Amino acid sequence: MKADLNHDALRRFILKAAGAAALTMHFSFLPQELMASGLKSSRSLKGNSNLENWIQIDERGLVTIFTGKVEFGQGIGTALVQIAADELDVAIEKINLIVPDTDISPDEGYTVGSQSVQLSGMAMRQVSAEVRRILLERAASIFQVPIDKLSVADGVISDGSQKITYGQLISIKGDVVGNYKQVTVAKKAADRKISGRSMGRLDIPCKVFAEGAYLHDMRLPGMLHARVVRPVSQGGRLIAVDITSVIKMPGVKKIIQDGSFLAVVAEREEQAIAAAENLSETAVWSELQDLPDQDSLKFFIMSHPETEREILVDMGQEEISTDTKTYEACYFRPYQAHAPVGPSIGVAHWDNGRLKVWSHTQGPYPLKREISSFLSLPEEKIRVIHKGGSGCYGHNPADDAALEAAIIACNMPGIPIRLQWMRQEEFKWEPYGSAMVMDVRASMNKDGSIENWNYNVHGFPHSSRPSGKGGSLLATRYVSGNRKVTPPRRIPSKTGGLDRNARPYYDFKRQKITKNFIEKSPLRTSALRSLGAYANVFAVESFMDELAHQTGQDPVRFRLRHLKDERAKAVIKKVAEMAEWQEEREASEHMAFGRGIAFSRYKNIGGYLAVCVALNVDSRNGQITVSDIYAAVDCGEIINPDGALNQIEGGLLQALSWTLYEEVNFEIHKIISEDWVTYPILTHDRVPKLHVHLVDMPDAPPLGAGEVAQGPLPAAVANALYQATGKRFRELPIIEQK
Amino acid sequence: MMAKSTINFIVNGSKCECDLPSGTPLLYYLRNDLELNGPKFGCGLGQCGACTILVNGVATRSCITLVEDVSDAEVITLDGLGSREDPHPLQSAFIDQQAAQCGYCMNGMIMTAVGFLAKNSTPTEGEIKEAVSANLCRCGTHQRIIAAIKQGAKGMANES
Repeated sequence: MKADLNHDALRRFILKAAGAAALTMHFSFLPQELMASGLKSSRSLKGNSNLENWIQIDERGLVTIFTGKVEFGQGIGTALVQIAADELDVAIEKINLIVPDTDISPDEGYTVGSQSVQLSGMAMRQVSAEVRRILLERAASIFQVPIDKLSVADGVISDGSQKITYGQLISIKGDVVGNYKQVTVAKKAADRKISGRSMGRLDIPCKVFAEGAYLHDMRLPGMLHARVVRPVSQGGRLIAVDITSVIKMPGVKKIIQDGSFLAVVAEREEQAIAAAENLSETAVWSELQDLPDQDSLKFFIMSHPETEREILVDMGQEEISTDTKTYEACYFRPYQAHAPVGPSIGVAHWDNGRLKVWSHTQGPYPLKREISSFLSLPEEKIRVIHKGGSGCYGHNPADDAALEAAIIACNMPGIPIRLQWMRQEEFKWEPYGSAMVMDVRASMNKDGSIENWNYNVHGFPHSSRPSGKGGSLLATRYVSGNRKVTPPRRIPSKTGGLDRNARPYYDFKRQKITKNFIEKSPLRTSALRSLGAYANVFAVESFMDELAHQTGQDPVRFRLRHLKDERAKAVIKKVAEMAEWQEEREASEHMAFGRGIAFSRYKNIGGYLAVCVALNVDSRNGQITVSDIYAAVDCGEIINPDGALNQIEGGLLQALSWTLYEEVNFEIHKIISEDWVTYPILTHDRVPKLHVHLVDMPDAPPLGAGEVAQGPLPAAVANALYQATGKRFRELPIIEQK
Repeated sequence: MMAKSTINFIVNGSKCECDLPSGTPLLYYLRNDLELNGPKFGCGLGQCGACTILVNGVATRSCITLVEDVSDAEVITLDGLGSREDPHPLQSAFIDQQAAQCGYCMNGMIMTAVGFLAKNSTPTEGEIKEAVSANLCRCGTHQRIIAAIKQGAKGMANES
């Protein structure tokens, strides 16, 4: 699919309403039921219900649009521009998107859960339609013609003989302001000209030409460089530190010590690094031996005394017919890291009684509330501005770095502070994806159907995002004053955290699903792309494969017979066709070939994805080569097909990397994964060919694409390995246990 | 180690007189003194490739290259490779193939490819993969990156 590019679309305009400098733009995806009616309003409009919160048009007809969702390379900014251009009938080039900034942007909370098109996108569509109608009404009254006699092309309204532009209407009758009244129906899918067509992402040229797209590239006048010095153990306390030699080092401006929080500020970056290394050598920390034995992590999780058991589904588990055969299996996923290529960064500036913080956070407003609470500083004195970082993949240390930069900046009023985390910090101090254990038991009827399904998931929290209480971020644990660490957020089971996709999407007669939640994880955890879905779908889809094989059934047909949803069946059938699915095991002299299939509907309410992995195993050395990955995806309406493809391809490969290679390693007193040698990931020479098919559903509500691939991929790999080798791989990562 | 003497070299066609103490990693000079955005800090260990630049045409990791190592050399960074008005074929190819998600690794992918294609202008897909296999991408954009380098190779061949 060749993208249609708009290199110059990212122009900067003077921001009329904000008065602030228009920030270099960057760009995020909308609840599914909303769009069906076209009138039900996006959740994002609650609390941001004024039209001008979203769209402002100036007297030249230039359009400025606002969002609370952040761009991290997933393409939301481009999708939002496409949606606004389509609904307003304005050329892409006339639209400028403002990055989330807590002084001027709508508060849309976090950019998470593959929901940005569903939320921000549909809000943008609804507001755009309403703004367009208001402008048409104005033109109709000037022209003295009925509104249905008017047409719009690139911001010019015409009744066939007279013409007036949006800009002229603004200058005659003033800005379009006021409450979104929910009275305008957006265009029908068939009438959209820009949404639904591939368009080059607006943020890419700026990155290709090194124009300073990243927060890492930000340079403020007089800015100083900071580094934080960390203990050996996660819970280590600072016992003593001798700063006398470090303070004399070249360029060192200040050493900040607050309890066990230790940081150094220097004129130059390399000076800050050298000073931090020196401080690290002189600092004495307490060492804690409080981590479990990694080799028995699975047992640690399953037998944890503080497990909170919650039965999510119970459908008459006990009445199992005696005429069934029972199977069981246990699956494991280790702690895994976000591990972006660029370590996290925060920039902060205490300037004239106000704290400005620039962050690659997923939630500028929640971060503002967290900093406010942590520093006991009124919210109006804090401004958080988003600027893109490296990767994202969930709750990485972006917010930790932002708060730490803010703490340092408050110690050095008037001086902008740039705090760059080092590679080792990023690996050792990030909030990991939770280790999990899934045990499952099923009883099969004689006809090969599943009579009973009993599933247990065990693990730790999947969100420790800023809560606004000031105790969620890393610095809380180290600054003085015995601050209270805010307990991780309990994610409601509708979408689920640990239990995301714990309920199979299949139609089983009886099932019992139990969540075994352990609040205190020995290693800090938070949201990693798809949360618990990655491991739950690994277990469900691996076990489905096991049951099919145990009962001599084709894994594709076995899945289809247990599904009711036609859209689910359609993606499975499609991927089987794409991969030329066959059950027979193939082998040549040294090579065993295998294909494995898996399916899920993300969160059971989001996008559908079926995947087939083709691989071979060299019997001489056990080397696994994944040759092809086939995927069929139905994520409802798609705004930018090539953008969705990019996200899905990326999801598949990232999940492949997690599945084959990734595990955070630790000893009882410290984490030992600290760089790319001790935490290897997928490299180019091991990348398979990807074949992704998007089901075209322009009239269906958007369901999100960013995380659909994470769940099914690991099971497809494990199932393919079973076909190739006859061996079940129930623990991740797979390379470790060949 | 800390001796100070001016180190002369050329960056993106301009002469530089670098007065930083020897032992300073080149990356920080390029980013913080010359305000170049291309080379990125990724690991500081030479493991990820995000900081890659060209030194006399050879792809080099600037985080583990010291300022004195490039004395009298010619350095090119992504910033100087091409522009919107006059893009390098690889830059056009990365846009055409939409070969980025977060894009943080892209500098290293492009600069490594420039160095590699100078030695092998008609590479196979396997050779391209090998050439950039020590450059890490976390978003899973690998397939597009390889397609972009293929396209860039053709573009460069047509230009010369």
